Amino acid sequence: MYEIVEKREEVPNIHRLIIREPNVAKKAKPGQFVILMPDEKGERIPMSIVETKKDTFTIFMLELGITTGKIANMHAGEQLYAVAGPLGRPAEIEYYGTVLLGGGCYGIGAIYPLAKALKAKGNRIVTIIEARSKYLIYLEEKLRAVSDEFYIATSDGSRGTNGHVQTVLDRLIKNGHRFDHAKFIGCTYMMMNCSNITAPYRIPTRVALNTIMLDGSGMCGCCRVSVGGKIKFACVDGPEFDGHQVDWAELMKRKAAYQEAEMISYQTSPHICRALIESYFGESDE
Amino acid sequence: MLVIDGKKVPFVEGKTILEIARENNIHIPTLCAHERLPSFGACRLCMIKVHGVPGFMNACTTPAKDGMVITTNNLEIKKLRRAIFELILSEHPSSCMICAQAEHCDKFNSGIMKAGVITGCNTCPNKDMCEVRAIAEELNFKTIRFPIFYKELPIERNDPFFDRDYNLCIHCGRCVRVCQQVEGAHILVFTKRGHDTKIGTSFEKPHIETDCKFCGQCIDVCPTGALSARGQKWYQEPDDRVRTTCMLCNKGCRFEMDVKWGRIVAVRPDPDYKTLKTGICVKGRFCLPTFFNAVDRIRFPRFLQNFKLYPTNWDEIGSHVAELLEAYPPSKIALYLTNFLTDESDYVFRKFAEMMEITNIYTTVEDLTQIPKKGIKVLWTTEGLPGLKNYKTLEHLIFQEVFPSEGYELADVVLPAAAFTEQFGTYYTQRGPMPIQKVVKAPDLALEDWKIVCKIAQELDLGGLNYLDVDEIEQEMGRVNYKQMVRPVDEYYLKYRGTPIAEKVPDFKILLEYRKNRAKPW
Amino acid sequence: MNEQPPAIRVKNFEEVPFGLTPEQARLEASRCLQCKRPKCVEGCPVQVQIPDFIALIAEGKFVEAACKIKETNVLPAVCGRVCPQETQCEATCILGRRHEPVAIGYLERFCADFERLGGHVELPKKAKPNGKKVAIVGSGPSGLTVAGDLALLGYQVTIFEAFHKGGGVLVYGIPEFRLPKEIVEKEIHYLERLGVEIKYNHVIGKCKTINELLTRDGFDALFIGVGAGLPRFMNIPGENLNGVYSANEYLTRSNLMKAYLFPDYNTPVIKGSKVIVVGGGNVAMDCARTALRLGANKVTLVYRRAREQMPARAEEVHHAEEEGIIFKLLANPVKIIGDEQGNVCRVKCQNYTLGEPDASGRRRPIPIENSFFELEADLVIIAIGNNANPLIPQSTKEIKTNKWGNIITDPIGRTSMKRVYAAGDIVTGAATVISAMGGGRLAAKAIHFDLMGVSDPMITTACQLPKEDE
Repeated sequence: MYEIVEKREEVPNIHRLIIREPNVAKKAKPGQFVILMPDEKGERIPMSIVETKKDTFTIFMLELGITTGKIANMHAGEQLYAVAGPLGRPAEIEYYGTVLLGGGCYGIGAIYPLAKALKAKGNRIVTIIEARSKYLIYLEEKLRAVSDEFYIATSDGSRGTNGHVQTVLDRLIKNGHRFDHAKFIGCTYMMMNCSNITAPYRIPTRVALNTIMLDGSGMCGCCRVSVGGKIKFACVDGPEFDGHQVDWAELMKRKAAYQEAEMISYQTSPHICRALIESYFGESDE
Repeated sequence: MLVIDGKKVPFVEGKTILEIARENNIHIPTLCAHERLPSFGACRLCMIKVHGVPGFMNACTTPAKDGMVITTNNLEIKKLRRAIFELILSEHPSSCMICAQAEHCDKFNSGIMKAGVITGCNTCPNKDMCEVRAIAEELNFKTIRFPIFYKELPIERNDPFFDRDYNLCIHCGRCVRVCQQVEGAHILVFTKRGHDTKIGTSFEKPHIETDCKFCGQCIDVCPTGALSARGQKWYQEPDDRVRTTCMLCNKGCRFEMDVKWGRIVAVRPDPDYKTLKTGICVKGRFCLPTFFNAVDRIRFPRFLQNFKLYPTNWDEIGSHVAELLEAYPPSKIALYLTNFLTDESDYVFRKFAEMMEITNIYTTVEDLTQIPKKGIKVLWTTEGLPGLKNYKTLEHLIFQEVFPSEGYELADVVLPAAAFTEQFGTYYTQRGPMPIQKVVKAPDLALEDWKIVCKIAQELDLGGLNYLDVDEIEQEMGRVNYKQMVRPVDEYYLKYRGTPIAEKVPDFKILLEYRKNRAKPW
Repeated sequence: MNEQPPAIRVKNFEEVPFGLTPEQARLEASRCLQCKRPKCVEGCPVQVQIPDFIALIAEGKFVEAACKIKETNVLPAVCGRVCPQETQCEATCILGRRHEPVAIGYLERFCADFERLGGHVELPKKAKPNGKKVAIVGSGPSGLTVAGDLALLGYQVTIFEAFHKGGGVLVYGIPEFRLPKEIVEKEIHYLERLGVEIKYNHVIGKCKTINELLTRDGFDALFIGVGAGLPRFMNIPGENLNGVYSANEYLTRSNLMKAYLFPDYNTPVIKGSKVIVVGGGNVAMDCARTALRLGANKVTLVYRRAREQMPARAEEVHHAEEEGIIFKLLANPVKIIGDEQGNVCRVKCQNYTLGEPDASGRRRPIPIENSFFELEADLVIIAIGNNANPLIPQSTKEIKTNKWGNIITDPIGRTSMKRVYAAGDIVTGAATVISAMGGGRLAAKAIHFDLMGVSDPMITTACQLPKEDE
């Protein structure tokens, strides 16, 4: 069992968790992920590793379904049933020149280790983050500290540019910015839009695909994506891929494979009751 | 006579302008008005101009007067309406409604994100049914000129059954009105004032600490996703809506149930019956779907071999049961008839007993004390019962139930019964005989209680017990003048057949545990 | 032996056969001729002393019979259920020449179940700790066998398992209705009682490398039993549509993650109503029978050779037929067609015929030109076999593999890397549970010889018999 050392909801739906697992903490490189299970009946879900320190590692988790919901309802001191990692290939970290980093949702946290590592290699870092509204922005100070330029975009215009990462990016390029490399992390829709912006300018683009995963070590093929016409497994060949080669339409459809099941899951919601049981009776029944 | 937008409509005494407009198919947008609730005039979206009166008036609170000439939709009203709606939206997580990418995003994204906190329409369970979104579409809404303000109120999840996110609340007051003026419970009120106004309970107590009955009426009338039933959201449109009568006690309340994926997903009061006014209790409203969808329903007939209960089909089990019953004299056989049998099932069981000359018919736990006195060897029960292992004379137990409740581990033969939501029939209640409707299919091989008796009767070659449907049974009952009875099950009875409802519904367990020192739990 | 009627058993995940009663077991055991030169033992990949344990059953000594089997086979409850006895011990049974062979498999299952359900059995005597540490990668049948053998010989054994539950293919590959997972858990618990340590969620090659285990972590020897876990796809158009699964994914969801208990267990699996399974082995049978139990209306098995050449166990094919699975033989998919939402809706297949035998002796399947047909499908499972998972060889260059990625070993399991051994599917390619166990047993002997110089160990897996007054 793996202890949650610290847990905090940074902004609505985004939780920062620090988990104790020495193997992951020792070996994780930027761009790798872990597979988590909240309890024996939960699913196996991938989470990007953001930071490591001594024998713990940090993730930023977006609550968007029943399994992330279970974890969101846990608190520090509780144990996760399974943590396996570090999995996946590390991100490409080299000296390129000027690197553009774009992050949305949980991607704002996930690009932090990439920014840090790329900065250490001597790159000039331009970071753009997006959120629905100003109250959904987090990790701003840490990101500013490793970026040479930093921009914010919101869907409702409450802060920064009214729009998304690609709105700012388009403007920067048209104003004469030149980029030697770009990395985007966020929801599939956002990564697709950003890749489409960099494509005509031939900026080498890498995206971190967040496919559905099951085992995480290449034995099932659940996470397969078409990249450049070939089948790749996101868990062993990725999760970082060339954004201009990814078959986005197919990926979007594959991510929708379990929509109905996701809805059915909510009809039995014992996980919420744990929070209730503890708040009233001071300890869990289970 | 009135003239609304140039159309002549008849005047009706005592009605508001809005009611008359609606009756004559003239559309005026509203958010806080509701046909079951007294008007309130909170949202001001229904602004109209009455000619000859300065300023604008609410259609929902203004009584109509004969001869009024009304304009509902001129340029000035349109501008006002927009501004009002922008004000409402500026304090509601509205990013998705005004995002430039909204249509494109909807096309590509794989459905609603089932987030914990609602930060936009794409994370809201109410998205497909939302009245605010409907108005936004009607007004062709694309921008908000006012600064956006997210109230950052904590999400209230510390009550059983439903969540409250008052960041989405538009203060229409429907929940307050239904709680105070329809239910008469007075749990929800407007608290604080001015910009800090928030709907909630007095002193911000969790509902479980108040006298809230958990009737769910507030959730039914809320136009946004602010109030949502935890286990009954995210299913979008139901496949079917069926109305039936509750059999969890003898009151006979009427329900309307939403069905999706072959399961009951939501329950609310039947809109055409008086239970809409009196409300339905927490057992039916919130516990019923979770209870009957629990995973350990008995689904197959089973027989005991090698210390294990093996599943088999009805033909095999029929011969097992017939052998058992033929091996013993009727004086050594007893039937336990649960109060939760439909009238038809009860009648068929008793007729079967008569034909088999079985006189030991038990209906209460006290009756079980007869077992040692009469040396009963075979007990056929339709309900899980306590203490069966203490009866040393019992050699065989036929267990006909919905769940593996008390006594299951002692069974030789297990017969899967259908729940009341899975069959047709009648149930004689305090409100008289009420119809039971089949809402969903029974799981796998589970059958109506009366059908099971008929199958066994067939194996025993008993004539007169091969009904095709409940109508046949009802007709026979009419012919023989069978007296139906109201069963002694009151509204605070906490089991269905042999299973405590709290065992399958964790939120209900919490409710009972927390309120155990009160005279009544709701 | 009684079985669940087919119409009932396709709706549940409980075992199909009911199991022998004690009376039935003694009766069947008394049929055994107790041959002086038992052919059945020759037919068994691990040479279980079959006549000896059957004699004990005939005498009513059921627990002793289970212990007798455990002298050569650590997992009798598993093998009694999944071994293809009809091509092994029962095929060579002398009685089978004129009559029905002795039901060796049912008897093995009977006494193993009897012992297990009876409660606590004393552990066999372990040798004194010899101070040596052995790491085992993978908790499948071969890894569990090596762990059991070495633990009894006094080694300190640590198993590293990538998943959160042990058993390997026993827990993720074989469905609940063929092998209840409760049995696998009991076997693993038995090993833990013997002192074996199991570390779950350790993906060797990622969180630790083999080199680290042998140097930094101080293991004296290392055994690789990771199995053949790389799904093989057909590389035909449409394989990435929603509703197309590799057999590995389908079975892992259903068996390990218990998707058949969805939504109580949160992992979903697509429950198609018109299902097509491609393949003819045991895995394909398992997929097809699982699909039925998950509610399919029609399950069709598409296999490019003929019935006689299907590698699946005869009993499984028989059960599948009884349950209503349709066999479309001498056919193979060429294209998978989907709808606008990206879900599979049809499969285009080609008819095949059999030509001359190939190198393995089986007649080659040859596609018939311009002979196509289409089948409707909302779920397609590709069960055409597995290749070796490259994770370990990729991270350990010293281990040599053949061109298909299988680890090359000598006849008793030594790899090209010193102090590293391997057995099971990672060496042989996909095979059976019992052959993996046989390979594991040999590797354990090799380790014992290389580390302690003992060439013919007395592996004492015989259990202590329960005392008289219990």
